[in-house]
Amino acid sequence: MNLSTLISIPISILLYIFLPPLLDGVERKVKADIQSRIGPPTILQTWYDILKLISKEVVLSMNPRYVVLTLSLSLTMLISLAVTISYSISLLNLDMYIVITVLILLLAIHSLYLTLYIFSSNPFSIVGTFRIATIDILNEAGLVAFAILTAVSISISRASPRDYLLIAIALTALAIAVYVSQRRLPYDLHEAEPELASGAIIEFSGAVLGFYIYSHLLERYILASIPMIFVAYLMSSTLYLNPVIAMLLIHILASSIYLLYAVISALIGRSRVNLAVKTINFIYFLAIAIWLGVYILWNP
Amino acid sequence: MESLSTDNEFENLYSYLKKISNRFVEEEDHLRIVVENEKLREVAEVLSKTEGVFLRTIAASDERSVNGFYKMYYVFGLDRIHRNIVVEVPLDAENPVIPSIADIVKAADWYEREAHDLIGIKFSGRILHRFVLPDDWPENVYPLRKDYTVQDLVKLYRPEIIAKAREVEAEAAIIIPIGPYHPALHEPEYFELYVRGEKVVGARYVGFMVHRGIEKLAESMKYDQVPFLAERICGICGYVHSTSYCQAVEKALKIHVPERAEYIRSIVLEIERIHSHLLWLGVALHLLGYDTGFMHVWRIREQVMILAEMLTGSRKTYGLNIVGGVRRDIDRDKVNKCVKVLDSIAKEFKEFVEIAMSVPQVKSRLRGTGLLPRNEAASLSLVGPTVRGSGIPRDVRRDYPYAAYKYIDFKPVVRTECDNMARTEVRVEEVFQSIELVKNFLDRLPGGGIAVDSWEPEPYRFGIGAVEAPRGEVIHVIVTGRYSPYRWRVRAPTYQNLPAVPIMLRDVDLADAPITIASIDPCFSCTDRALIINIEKSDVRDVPLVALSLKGSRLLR
Amino acid sequence: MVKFVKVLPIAAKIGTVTIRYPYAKPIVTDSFRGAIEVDPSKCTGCGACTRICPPKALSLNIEGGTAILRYFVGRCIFCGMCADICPEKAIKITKEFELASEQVSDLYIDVEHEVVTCRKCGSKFVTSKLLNKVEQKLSEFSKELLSLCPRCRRVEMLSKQVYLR
Repeated sequence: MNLSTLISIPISILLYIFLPPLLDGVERKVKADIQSRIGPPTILQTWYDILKLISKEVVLSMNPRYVVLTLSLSLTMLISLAVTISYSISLLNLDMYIVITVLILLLAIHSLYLTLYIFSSNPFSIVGTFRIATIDILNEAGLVAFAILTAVSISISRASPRDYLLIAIALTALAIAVYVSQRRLPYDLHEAEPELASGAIIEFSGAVLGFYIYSHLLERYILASIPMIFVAYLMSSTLYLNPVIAMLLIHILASSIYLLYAVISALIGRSRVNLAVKTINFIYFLAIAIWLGVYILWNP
Repeated sequence: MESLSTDNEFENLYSYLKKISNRFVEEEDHLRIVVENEKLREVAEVLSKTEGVFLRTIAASDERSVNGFYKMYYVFGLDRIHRNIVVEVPLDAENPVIPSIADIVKAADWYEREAHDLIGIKFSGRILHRFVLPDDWPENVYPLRKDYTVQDLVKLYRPEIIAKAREVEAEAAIIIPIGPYHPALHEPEYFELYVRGEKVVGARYVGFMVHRGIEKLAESMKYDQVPFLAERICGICGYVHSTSYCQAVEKALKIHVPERAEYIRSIVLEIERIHSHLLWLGVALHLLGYDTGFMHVWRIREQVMILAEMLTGSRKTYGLNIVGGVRRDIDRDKVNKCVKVLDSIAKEFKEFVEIAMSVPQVKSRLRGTGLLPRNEAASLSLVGPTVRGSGIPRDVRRDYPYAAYKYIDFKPVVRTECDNMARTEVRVEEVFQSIELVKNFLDRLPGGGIAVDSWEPEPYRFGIGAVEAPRGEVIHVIVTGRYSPYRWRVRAPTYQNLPAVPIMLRDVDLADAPITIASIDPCFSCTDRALIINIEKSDVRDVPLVALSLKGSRLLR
Repeated sequence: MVKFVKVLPIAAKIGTVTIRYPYAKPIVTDSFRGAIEVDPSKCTGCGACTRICPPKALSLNIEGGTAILRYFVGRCIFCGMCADICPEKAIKITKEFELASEQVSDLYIDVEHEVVTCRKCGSKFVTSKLLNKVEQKLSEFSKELLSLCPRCRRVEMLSKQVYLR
């Protein structure tokens, strides 16, 4: 391990820790621009919000064991995810074990969130929980499938344009799965209709809400960086990249796709759970069908 | 040929009514007929069976000090011939009992419950419970009876909740932070939705949380002060209420409003409709999760608000009406400004509404949801865009022309799909229609004064004033007094439309329930015009949804 | 199919429409009606405004030796009926509407008037300014009678007539 790798790992971890709320601040500004508003005073607003929430007193309406345990566990796992990814990108080493570790960690975090929602003391929020469970189960299958499909596409020899097309298809599908995973419109169903059902975070306040928001944003950013790791890995196979530059490139790319997602979510409305299931199913099967079609029919 | 036959049909109705009772008065806009208690059900039966007759409102009134009776006024509208039939039933002062007609005329349900609650009229044939008044209201105190003044009532009733708060020393309790996210309600509404999975299988509405006693209050105010009270019935379409009130008084006392004032009223009414429909569309898009649409629609609406302020002196079109005319004139400069702004709004809105309607989620969640069949809409005598979205062209502007609508040809916007999309389209198109109407009125604005010089009140005259509000027909019935209204009955459109919500919610997905409820453009403050305070009485643990979710969470534990 | 993207060029064209209220001044048109201002030099304390005021934001009470015309801005609905009715045109409609205050006393604005005492029974019945005004208008009317309160005046008139007869 040389010096630049050693430097790039901690920098990457720090970026993972500090960037997400900042990006959310930018997202809020971008959305405000699209909606012809001024928006929050600075892009630091999300950071201010989180810090203020954390400084407030702790009020828990449900059994604290479930909240504190699940929230702290998921936060720990998110950070370890950030560390794993940072380690892997600095080495520009994309072996299957790291991909699988990342995926397992992601799934574990999502199940922790579900546990958190289910033990909510608000009986109405169970509606939101069932909705997010439905979407999550469906989407996680997609996320895992497309991550593996992308890894497989990259590992193919890349001799003809067909192989690049395969990578493009898999990456696009992965980007969509990541978008859905981020719980953005039209799939933010767990917290939809606050007048009627809403979700579990309605019971959170103060520090707990602050930590929840932070971990949610961190998860979003980690998710956004996953397709970008593949992109950077692809680039590094054709030209030499200094580890520090590669790491920075990944963060820049992840930030840009994060903001692209923000713009998309500002342009559309909210779906309905039965509609969402249909749409997601359709898109994922279509992606797999196209990938297979190209793979089988186009024989270089 | 068809119109001739319907005229004949109503001819039969008229001769039938005149045979039933020889005590009737024919006025320009209505036939008022005194019917005996025992003949009421028969009359209601005949009226409800006649095609094209709608129940517009029912007013109960305590007239013991005038003629020794309680009185019920049933206002039926014959939309096609632009006239009303007012059935008057005098009731015994000692024991006011009247047969219920809610089983014959479906729309009468709420009116009977309210009359029972507030005036103490007993309805034979049905058992009635507390409806408007809170549960802890003292027994046998009927606030709209003349035995009580507003001051008496305030002394008589103190909500228990205040005493309870003192008991637990609410001031000394710790402060619990709520937010920054919290489930803010738009208005004090309470719906119980009975849900199976994500499907709504039934719904119940508990209302009158913000009953403010406005009808009672008006009885202690002077004629010229009431318009300012009437405006405050609604925070969105206040002008329709002051116009309705003024028109009712003007009709009752035969005051002839100058033509210019009629035009100014119509202009402001249409401006109000534009702003209200834009407001609704914004909220509807927000409920569908399309917040960018919400922001842009309200951005366009802001220009209308500035226009309203320019014309009336208040963003909310308040403070323009007085009995006999209006208080502010529109000069040449303002006319030009209006036309310019309206043209730009029309262009911007057209461009934007196409974008908003192309959003896939907006399209798929409006189309086919919240179905309100035509026959149900007709039998409940619904009003406004709600009924027009179900293929029935009811519109006060055409059916009972008032203000400047008398001088123009008017064609209501109608859609026949009966779903949320149909109601949305009606409103969107009405925005363009209203813009054209305002421009037309401004163009033809006649000269002359804007208010009558003076007028004298005369007691115990009867008048009806109706206006097509953005949400549907607003109808005020007035019995005049010497210095103040003797009885003032307000019926807001949501009062008539809310009973349709449970029908529209049948088999809707839970996620579509908010937009479906919103599709009648409900205004709860309007509906709840009149109590002092109502405590939230319903225990949420009764809701099957809770049972369902508790079961769900127990399974998982 | 992706027509909804067209909102982006619209947003770019329009720019930002909101303002940094309360740091920036709100937009109020020339026609706006806000709180009222009573000109103490013109006001005669006749009380016409208190009788028309729909929300009863204006009141006229005699306390001790002074009549107080009290304007409670907390109740005011900015309708401007008082300004329409005022015979002296002493009420001006301003464009003020940001009137919140930490002290409820800030919401009361009083105009004080000197009161005339009835020379017979000693009750205080009218502001001296209003009495002067009436005196000017009714120059042929007996000054003696004007300085009496309505009740005493009636008694005086009647007794005079009886005396004459």
